[in-house]
Amino acid sequence: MKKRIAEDRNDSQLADIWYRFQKNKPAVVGLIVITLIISVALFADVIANYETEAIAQYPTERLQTMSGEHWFGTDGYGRDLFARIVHGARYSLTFGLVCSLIGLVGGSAIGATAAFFGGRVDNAIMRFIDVIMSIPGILLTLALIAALGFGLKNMIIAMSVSMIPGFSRIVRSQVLTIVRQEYIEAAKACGVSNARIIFVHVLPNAIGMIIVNATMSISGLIIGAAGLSFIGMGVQPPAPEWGAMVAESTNYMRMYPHLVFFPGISIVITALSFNLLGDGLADALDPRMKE
Amino acid sequence: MYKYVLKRLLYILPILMLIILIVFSILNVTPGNPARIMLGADASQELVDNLNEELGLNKPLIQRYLGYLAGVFRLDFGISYRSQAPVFNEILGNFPTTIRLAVFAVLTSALIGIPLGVLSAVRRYSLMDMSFTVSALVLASIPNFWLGIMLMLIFSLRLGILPSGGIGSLSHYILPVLTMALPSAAYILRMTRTIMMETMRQDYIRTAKAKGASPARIIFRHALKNALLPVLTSLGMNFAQLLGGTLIIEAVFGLPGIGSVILKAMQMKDVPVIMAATIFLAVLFMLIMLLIDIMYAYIDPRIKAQFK
Repeated sequence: MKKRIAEDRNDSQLADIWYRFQKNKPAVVGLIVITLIISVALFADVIANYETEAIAQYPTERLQTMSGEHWFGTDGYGRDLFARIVHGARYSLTFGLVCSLIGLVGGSAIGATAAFFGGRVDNAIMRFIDVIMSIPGILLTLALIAALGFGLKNMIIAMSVSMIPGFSRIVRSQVLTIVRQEYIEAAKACGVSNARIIFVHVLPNAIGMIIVNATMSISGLIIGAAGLSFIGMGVQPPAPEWGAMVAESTNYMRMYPHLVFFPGISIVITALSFNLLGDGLADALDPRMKE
Repeated sequence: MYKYVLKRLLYILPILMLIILIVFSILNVTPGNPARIMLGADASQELVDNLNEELGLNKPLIQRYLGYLAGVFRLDFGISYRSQAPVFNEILGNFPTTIRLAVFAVLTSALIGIPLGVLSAVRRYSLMDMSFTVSALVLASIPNFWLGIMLMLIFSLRLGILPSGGIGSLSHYILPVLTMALPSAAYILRMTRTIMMETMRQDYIRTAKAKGASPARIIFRHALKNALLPVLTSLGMNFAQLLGGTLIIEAVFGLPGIGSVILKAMQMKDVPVIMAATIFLAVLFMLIMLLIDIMYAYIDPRIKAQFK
């Protein structure tokens, strides 16, 4: 009986959140576009063969404009631009999702530790984070890449690590405000164990804000990863990463602007969708936050 | 007031040492062997060992750090692995371009963002306000390198009215500065709008209205003056973003700034140059934030009073 009531309450809360979310039309559009992009990334191999269409070069078919056969035209090596953009979705989504997840887990661990222990531990951790954050983010990422070397894996490590200080701050301030609430005091007075307080009372209340921040960070990560690949520090050609594709085509852009347009607009649409989704989630999860 | 400034200036020192420690540790715990890079792959192991000895690279990390730190305070950032020239000179020559870019961009974004933000707050939920909101959202989703390329395509390759790269005249700066300033202007606009709307709800604004002050006087004299302080802070934070942004924008427009120094050094694993350039930019950012804090204390009588 007790369990049912709990379930009902959970159901209605989720329904509540969904109700508020679907009223925000731009956010719904963002969600739909993201679902589409994720499906494209998942079924990329069905849409176009990676080896023969996205990587193999066809010198006789180079620099064609948009046609029925090549929807977005072909690039300087005769590769189908549409096929490359479809496969590029995998890179961008991986960067966005994986880096924000790693950053989130690391940041939560550090931020929550600081907030729980308070006092000297908190002070030491947060001062250190302050110092790291006084180094502009992209510099930290570049320094890490310079140390680790170029390439996909190292870029993911570098970008994830650079996310951790920011997330630590957010999680810490979230946990701190919750820990000061009266219901936590009440739980402590009832003799609830620390672990139960953390997992049952603090985390569920902090999770909304944390999810919102993670979603908001995804667009920045996608843009940042594309930028790193554009300057040649990230994914290396011939891999069809969107930023790297723009860089490869700058030589032809005077005559064939579509070569830089399509990969770029793919980044914009993906980043914009995640921004819209994040906005919608922020409003839906915490109606008080609205101005 | 002087005490406050002095305290803040002294506070810089330990932070500076920590920043250098972080950057130094990241870049020195690497698998790459600098002596091997300098001498090339065919050099004998003996030569490599000798060079390591000469550069002091076989000493423990902490000792090297202290040595480096001592050098930094004498403006000696070591010798570039590639050009064998002092790193400091190499960076100093490229520094003005980056500074000019970032300063122009901050000023431009403030000049666009603050007035439009005030306008947006005054005419909130109007068609203009909505269109600003939408453009701000879209601008926040555009990668800066692509925005630069698109501006270059339109203004220099199609219309042919602005140069597409390099430096020389002031007009060479227009496109890169615009590329950097537009997204931050959008951000400043949103900030100004939110803060202005908050300020307009305050009691003293109601008092001013009740006294019969004109709307223009209320907005500029009472509201904007108070709203400017938080906007100033966000301008400073923005500067960090812009400094980072110059790295990529310099690559797009082929500008010889500190960003291109870092990129070139990264391709060649020239650790002293990467380290020095990173430290330079981090210190610059720190100084800007300090300057803003001091300005804050100077402008805001509430903070000023604390340090009397």
